[in-house]
Amino acid sequence: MADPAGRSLTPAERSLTPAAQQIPPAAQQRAPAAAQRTPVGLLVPGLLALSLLVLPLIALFSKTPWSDLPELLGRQRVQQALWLSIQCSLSALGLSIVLGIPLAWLLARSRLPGRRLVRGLVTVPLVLPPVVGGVALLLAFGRRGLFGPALAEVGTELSFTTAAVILAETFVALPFLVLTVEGALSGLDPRHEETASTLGAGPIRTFLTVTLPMIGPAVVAGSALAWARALGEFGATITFAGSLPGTTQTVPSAVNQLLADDPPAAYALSAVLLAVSVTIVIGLRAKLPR
Amino acid sequence: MKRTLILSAALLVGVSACGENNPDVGKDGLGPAPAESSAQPTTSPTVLGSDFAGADLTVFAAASLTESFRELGEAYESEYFGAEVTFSFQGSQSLVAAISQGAPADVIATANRKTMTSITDELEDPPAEIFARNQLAIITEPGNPLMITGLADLADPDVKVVLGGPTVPVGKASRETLKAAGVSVEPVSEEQNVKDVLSKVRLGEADAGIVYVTDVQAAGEDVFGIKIPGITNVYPIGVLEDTDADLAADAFVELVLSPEGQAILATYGFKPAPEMTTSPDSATSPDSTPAPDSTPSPDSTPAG
Repeated sequence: MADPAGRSLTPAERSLTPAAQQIPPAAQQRAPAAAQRTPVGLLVPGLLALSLLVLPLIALFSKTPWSDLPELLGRQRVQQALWLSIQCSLSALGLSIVLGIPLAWLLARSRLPGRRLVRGLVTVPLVLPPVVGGVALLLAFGRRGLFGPALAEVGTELSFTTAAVILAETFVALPFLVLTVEGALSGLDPRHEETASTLGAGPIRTFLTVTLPMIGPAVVAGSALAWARALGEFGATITFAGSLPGTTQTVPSAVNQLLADDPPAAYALSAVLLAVSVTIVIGLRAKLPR
Repeated sequence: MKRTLILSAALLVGVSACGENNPDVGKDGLGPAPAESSAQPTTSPTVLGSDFAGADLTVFAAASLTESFRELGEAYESEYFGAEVTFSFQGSQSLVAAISQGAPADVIATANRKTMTSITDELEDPPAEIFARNQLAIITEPGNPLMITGLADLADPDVKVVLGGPTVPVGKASRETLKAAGVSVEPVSEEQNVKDVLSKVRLGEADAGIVYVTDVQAAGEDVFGIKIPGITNVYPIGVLEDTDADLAADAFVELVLSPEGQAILATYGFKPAPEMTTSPDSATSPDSTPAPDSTPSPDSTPAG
């Protein structure tokens, strides 16, 4: 055991350190050196991991045609994609919040049977390959899908609509919100809400004035993740909703097409999404100091 | 920040200097087996080392060539025992974009001249040779429930039409055909290759689409097809400069251009290239004149 200055503690000093009282004396003699030295065995893989994550981002940053950016971002196809992405991802976020918080509450607080199963099911879209999610959505809500005829009865056809994009994005984003909020709700001390109800507040009022503010940070964090996921959704969108500029071609779809047709525009859009992602990450860290 | 950028740039340079891996790692000098096919022999002389007529190949081919080229690959593999052909089938525009970015391929076959021209500098021996032609077709669900008889019916706003994107060969040809017929269509989706157009109709999501006649044939009973007379696409094939398997790539291209290869393509519905009336060994494609991509035939009025 060493003090902050790096000097070894005398046996007497060691016995004074609270943590040291738990450790048998023999172990105290061996521990110090290992705690200070960074194992080379971990350094190399660690740096490799870092390179893998960081080098592509650096490459994207360096290949972005910065001087042409204003012109590129002004192109019609690019503008359509950006505007559509913003619209759809925010709608998906809204839907996720409105539907997700109640579901999170049910999972965390209610006594409904099968909650563990439901929680597992909610996690599936998180790990499901996006294109598989698209196939599933197609099989459920496509024209020949399980609910296709039912939807047609009501006069709705989802194929190739902006609504389909929002649905696909919600499918992948909702779990983020539900799981984050559910975690926060589970960790809440129920006494606050109990106090509120003994003081006469109804369940809705309690939820809105007591519970919601307490899980606020979790809702924000979940929303940020959900929004980022919705913004980046590609596989499910392109399979379920198709790709048409202005209606269903979101930024990822546009990048996919522009990579072959107009690479500089693709790089510009990619840089925009990268910047958005970085902002979200920074914003998250600022909101939740840990 | 500046120091980080410099360090990062140095890292990037270092990484890129490591060079690329070439997939055509040489096998142990196995020469071609005696030709088993009854067609005219198309084998080149055996060369030991990594470059020989039976080496492994990576072939980039337009999506519409999926079925026919798979069979051509099998023909190549049976002619050269031990060879393995790996295909990448995508929209031609995606393939040539990948090649410009350095994707490793030995042979490239596209569905129109325009996409091939964009990578002229990457070809070993430009201009690429035309090996086939294709014709467009409207597809609908089996039984044609909406009773579509021709291009004009696609303009109906209640009909959901899917087309290839403007730079996808089938999409470009579709738009030219529609324009020539004076029909204005608002597609509900633009797909990146012809097989995706096919699948949207096959899955029942779209009412109609425009693909090639070869795709109609390949889809069999899953779709109903209406041939569109007139504009056809020409398919060029070329060997890439960067390839390490020159002889093998040449052998594959020769196979495609040979009577055996042409017969295979014909069974899938392709039309022969105009030059294919003479023996394959004598022709170098007369591609010096900037011929148009599409050759309108005399009866260019759409069916119905």
